[in-house]
Amino acid sequence: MDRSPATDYAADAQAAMIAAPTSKSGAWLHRFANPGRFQRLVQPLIPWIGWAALIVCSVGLVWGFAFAPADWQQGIASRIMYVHVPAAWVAMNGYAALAICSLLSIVWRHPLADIAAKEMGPVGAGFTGLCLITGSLWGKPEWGTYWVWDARLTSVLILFFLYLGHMALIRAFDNPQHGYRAAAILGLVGAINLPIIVFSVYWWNSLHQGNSITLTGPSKIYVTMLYPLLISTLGFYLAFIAMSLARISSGIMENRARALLLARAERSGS
Amino acid sequence: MMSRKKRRLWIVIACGLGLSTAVALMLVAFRSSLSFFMSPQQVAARHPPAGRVFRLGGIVQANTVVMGTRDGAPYTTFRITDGRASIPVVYTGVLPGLFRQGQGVVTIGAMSRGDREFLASTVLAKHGADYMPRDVEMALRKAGKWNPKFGPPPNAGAWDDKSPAQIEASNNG
Amino acid sequence: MVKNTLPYVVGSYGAALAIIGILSLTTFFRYRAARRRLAAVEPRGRGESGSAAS
Repeated sequence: MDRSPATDYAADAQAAMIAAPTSKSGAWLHRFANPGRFQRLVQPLIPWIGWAALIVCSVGLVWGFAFAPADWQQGIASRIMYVHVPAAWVAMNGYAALAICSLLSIVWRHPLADIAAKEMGPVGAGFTGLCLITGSLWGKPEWGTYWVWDARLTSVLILFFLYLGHMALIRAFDNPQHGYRAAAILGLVGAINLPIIVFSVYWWNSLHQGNSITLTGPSKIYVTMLYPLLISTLGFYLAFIAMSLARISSGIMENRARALLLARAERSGS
Repeated sequence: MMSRKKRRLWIVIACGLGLSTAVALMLVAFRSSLSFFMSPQQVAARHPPAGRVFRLGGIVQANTVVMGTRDGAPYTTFRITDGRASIPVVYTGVLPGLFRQGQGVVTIGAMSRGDREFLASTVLAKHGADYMPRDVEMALRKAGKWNPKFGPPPNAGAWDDKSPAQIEASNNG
Repeated sequence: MVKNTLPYVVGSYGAALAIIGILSLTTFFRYRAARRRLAAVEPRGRGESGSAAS
């Protein structure tokens, strides 16, 4: 029976919280499981990523809102794209990151992955909500309706509910480990929705248009409209990364402060 | 002996395969109801019964739009095509602002008796994935590369990074 | 039939500012609070993550 300290999760997490030990097993994954190492690596980066996110988002959104040319047919409503499309991309890739954390949690009992999944949930849900709201605001003047139950819109709404369900589940148990286990299963099962979102506009007839930018073939967005889109996309990704890292870091610090206070109370109590 | 980590990994892989197969089968089984609309070709092949409400989508065929008023209400007749089949549509009501020849639309309604025409109660505009400023659109028109009346714009590689002057200069090229 | 789409555009950018703004502000204040709290309870000289919480 393999009883290496790395697989003994409860002890590992406890030790990681209090003593922030260096890697014990040879597994390379666990080199990054150490919250102390994570804090040393990431905390100095957070303000830089945060400021970069603020600057790039501002440039992208101001460019998109005020300077990007209007579409020949949609007019200025096309400017909603500079919020909607980056939000959709971040929402989907955020969920992909959450699903990877779930896998790391289920298989390798990676203590940092649980905290990461817990903290990325609300950020991803925010971007998914933004995607749905802006899509709706674009749909009213352009399609003639706020909402239709086509495959793309419905699958993104399901993504939103998956985020909300994950957020609720991971916080639902008195013992956080139970929440981490349950939420990791939900996170992995929900990943099946991602290819459905991406290909929904090709597999089925949908009211939603196909993808304007693909990895193969030229972009269907004119170059002067493409630049602000790419910039605000970069800004949104930076914002997601900065917020996720800061929240993970906060979670680790909160856990550690709690563990220290608990240890102190136990010492003075005995 | 398998380590616990490895066993968990295999369980996850097995569950993932099972789940994806189940979802894929479900999606195939519900294929027709997952499609938001039927194309004219599908309508021509399946002949939905008169009075059954469904959505019909395609492009407003050029030179088929006739507008008028009937009993004081505006009504429009046009044909929806997907390039392979076309269906005549009658719509009573105010059209969305983007309605034009060559525009993608999705209409909700039912076939009339005798499969003659589609009686639409709602018309939604369906956008293409193309975004271009007005001067690029004008340049493509002047170069004779595109008339919006006849459907979506040409291959994006022909215009997405060229200046309007370059596009116009590429006339007949 | 020209439709005024400006309210929809303004609404979209407003939603972006509101959602991203609220998320980043709550994140910022939580991060600052966690650092201060940990700095207050961390035993001196042995914390690893505490070293950054100055």
